[in-house]
Amino acid sequence: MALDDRKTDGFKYIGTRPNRPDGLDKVTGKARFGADASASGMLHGAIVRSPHAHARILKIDATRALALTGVKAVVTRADFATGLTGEDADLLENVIAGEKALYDGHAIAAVAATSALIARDAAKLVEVTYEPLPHVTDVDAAMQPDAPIIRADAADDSVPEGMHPNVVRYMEFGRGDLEAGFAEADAIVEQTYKTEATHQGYIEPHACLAQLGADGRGELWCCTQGHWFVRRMCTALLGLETSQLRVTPSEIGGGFGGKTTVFIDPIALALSRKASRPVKLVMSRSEVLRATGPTASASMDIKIGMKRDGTITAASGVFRLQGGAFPGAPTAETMQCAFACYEIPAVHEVGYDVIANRPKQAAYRAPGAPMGAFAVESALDELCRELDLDPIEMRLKNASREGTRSSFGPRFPRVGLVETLEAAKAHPHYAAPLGPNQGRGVACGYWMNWGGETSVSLAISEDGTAQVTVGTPDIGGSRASMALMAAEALGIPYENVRCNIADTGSLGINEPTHGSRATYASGLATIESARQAIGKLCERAADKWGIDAEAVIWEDGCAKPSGPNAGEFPPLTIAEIAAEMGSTGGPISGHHEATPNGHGGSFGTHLVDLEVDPETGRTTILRYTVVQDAGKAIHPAYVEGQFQGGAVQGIGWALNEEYIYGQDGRLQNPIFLDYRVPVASDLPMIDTVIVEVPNPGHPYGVRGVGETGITPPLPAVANAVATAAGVRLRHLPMTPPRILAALEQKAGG
Amino acid sequence: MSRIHVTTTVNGDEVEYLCEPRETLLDCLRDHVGLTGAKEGCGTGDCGACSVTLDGRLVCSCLVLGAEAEGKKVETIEGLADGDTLHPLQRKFIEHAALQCGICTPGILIAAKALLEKTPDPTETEVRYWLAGNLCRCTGYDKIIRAVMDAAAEMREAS
Amino acid sequence: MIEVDGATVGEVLDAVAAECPALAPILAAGVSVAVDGQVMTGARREPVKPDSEIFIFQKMKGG
Repeated sequence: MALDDRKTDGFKYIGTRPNRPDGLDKVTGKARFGADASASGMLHGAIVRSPHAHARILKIDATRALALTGVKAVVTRADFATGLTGEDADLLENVIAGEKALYDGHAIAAVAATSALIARDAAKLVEVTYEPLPHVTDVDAAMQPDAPIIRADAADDSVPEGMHPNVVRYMEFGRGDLEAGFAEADAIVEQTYKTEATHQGYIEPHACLAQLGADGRGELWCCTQGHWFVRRMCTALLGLETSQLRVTPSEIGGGFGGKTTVFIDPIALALSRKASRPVKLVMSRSEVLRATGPTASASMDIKIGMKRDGTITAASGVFRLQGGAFPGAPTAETMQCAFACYEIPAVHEVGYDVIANRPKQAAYRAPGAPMGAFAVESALDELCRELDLDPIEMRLKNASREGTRSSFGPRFPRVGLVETLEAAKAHPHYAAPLGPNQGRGVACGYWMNWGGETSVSLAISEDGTAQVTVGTPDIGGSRASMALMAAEALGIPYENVRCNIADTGSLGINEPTHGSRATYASGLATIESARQAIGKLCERAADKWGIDAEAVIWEDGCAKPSGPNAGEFPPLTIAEIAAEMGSTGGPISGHHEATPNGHGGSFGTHLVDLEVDPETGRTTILRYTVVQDAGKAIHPAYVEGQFQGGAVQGIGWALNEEYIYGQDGRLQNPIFLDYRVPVASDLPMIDTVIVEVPNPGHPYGVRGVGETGITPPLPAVANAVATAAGVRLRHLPMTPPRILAALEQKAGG
Repeated sequence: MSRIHVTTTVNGDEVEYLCEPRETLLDCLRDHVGLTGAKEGCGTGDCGACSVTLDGRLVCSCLVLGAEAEGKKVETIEGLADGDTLHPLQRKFIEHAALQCGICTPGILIAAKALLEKTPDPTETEVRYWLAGNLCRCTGYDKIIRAVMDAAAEMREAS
Repeated sequence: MIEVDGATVGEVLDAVAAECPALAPILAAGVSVAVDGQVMTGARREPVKPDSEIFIFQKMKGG
């Protein structure tokens, strides 16, 4: 795409902080989320789930359930499409089990009844006969020769011969002379690091309202990050024509990647088809934790060599990720991001995607990146201590910048890592004094971001206001950002733009709000749509003045003659042109479709101060600063919000959150009391510094900011704990028992 | 199964509904009264998205039975604004960008209002501990705490 | 590292598939491509220069 008329300063609306358009609805309880819809004649669904980590399903008997008053339908795998292959086959297998239950919580059957209570009662009456099978839930155990085989044919051709069938993907890349690099080093660290699976933890459980007729036409209301994805997946799993299902996204109560796929939507559609009535299906929190995508757990071997002056000479990593009972752990993303922050002459990486008896992993904010960053940034901190180097100076010495050949191959375009490091170094936080049992941690992180399929329409209304129609659900204030970009491009007030999220029937395909792409990609398409509309507005003015359209310019929401040679005419406002559009050529709108590729990555540097209580092992975060490159902050308050939210999710991952499986393979902490996400009293204010190194791939310089922020907290917190407690924890989360054990081991050893 | 007839007051209006003995107040508000502002995030009293007040006391409506509302006064997010006039907390949440997805917002506003009625001049720490029962996964709480403190300051000046 | 001819990303991918038949199904399943440092997808029509450096990755996704 030609971006020859890029604009990076002199903005009127971009960079301001207006109230979001959906704010009123959201503070008054009017906003309609997934579970807030109802329909005439609606039934309620409930799902029967496996209590076993791994079991053959011998028999499903729904006789007693169907005999209960109010029960209208029961569906099993037999009610879905057959003959699917590839990712669709895996998706269906995860949505509803076939021959085997593959994890605790795996859906086996579902019931629709006249009330939610009856549906839940009926689900308990569905009798499933299982033959329990041996199971494995740990990534390293799943690779051992004696590990139970979860799915015999899940591996692809990439896996070298002789590996356990639970290894389903293998990746390897590298360059340079590793041996020479390590020989040149004055210090080498070689360690193994582990992270546990965590859940996205959105507060809104999955919910949907489905209606599907015998004619194969359907309507689906659901909370999702991407309703075209939902449409494609549901129609594939039900054997429908894609265009015959219309999906309308509700307001979405958080997603963080976990709502880019489907779990209950195809089941609700199948129940509706069978019962000939609309069906509402809402997950409980324990269903969310047991059966929707957590992220992968990881086990990683890292080796890094460094000269006395801080120069990194060589690095290698082996990354083993467990992504549940299906291929798809984000191993490639872990590998690409792990060493991305640094220029390293010799680097070699190996990755394994391993299956285990756990729920199918789903994307979680910069999927894969936090694990690798934890391992690499921890190892670098260990080297800094050994060589007595300042952690920011060491990072500045090696930082990736424009033209650096990345660890994964391509050279970086214009990026802002150095700027974030400089800003962190200059921040008062970095020079603040520390007390006893306190420590400071530094870490960097990277996410490559995403463009993705995008379709946007912008239409001028009769009064000269504008409506923008986008297909990326607004998960954190993006409607305000779209309206700001449209207002800037059109030269009309922010309040005169309304941004709507379209259903699948109203626009071409849009990828989900994922990959930090909404403000970048839908924003780019909004600006291009506005420019197209401006071209038409100028034509109408030119016609009216009887001059060439090329002799008309658009400024401050008005058409103006481009100069004295074009003639002397008073400016025509957008409202004046719009009022007459019906008689001057018809509606005026702009439309843009693209898969933009200039997304540009975003780097960040985080600082954290914390205190470890040596008596209890409890860690208290005292001060936190996020510095990240936003390219251009369209609505700075929501950019800060992304930085703060990402940081706190990372803090939770570092200190508290983990999936805990018992010997029986069942999830032991499927409620928020036991799966402990950070609460307000755990945290200080989260300071933010927005660095703006404009992205050449966006008309206003935007880079996605949503994901990078979750990456540095894991190592930053671990590095600070190493100072505060004097012990290095290489296994997350750093819960009080783990820190106490490390302290005791140190005292004893 | 016989249902229980409940007469209660919701946001100042007299309301009647029939509920199953095991139905929660949250279910009754959402399914029988038609007020979907209170949300179910967990069903176990851990997330606070369903916060309402019952005779002025802050509760998780997922832990209260619908039948328990008999003869009591229930206040929900739908009753927080006075007509077109937003409560200062509502206004400050919008101004401070204290919500991203907004699913936790109704519960947090109800909880924060209950705090400021008891403690008009709270410290940051008091706000953080009072709201520790209300989970927000998007914001990291920073802007929520600022909005509550700012609303409290404005309400003190106005009183 | 292999050298192939092609004026667009699509032509280059087709040439790679012809050169290395083992890669054909992987390329058909969808990959991410970096041309001179810019990672792109859905970019078969993107032009490439004779001296362009192209990397092929597993298709990436975000959260």
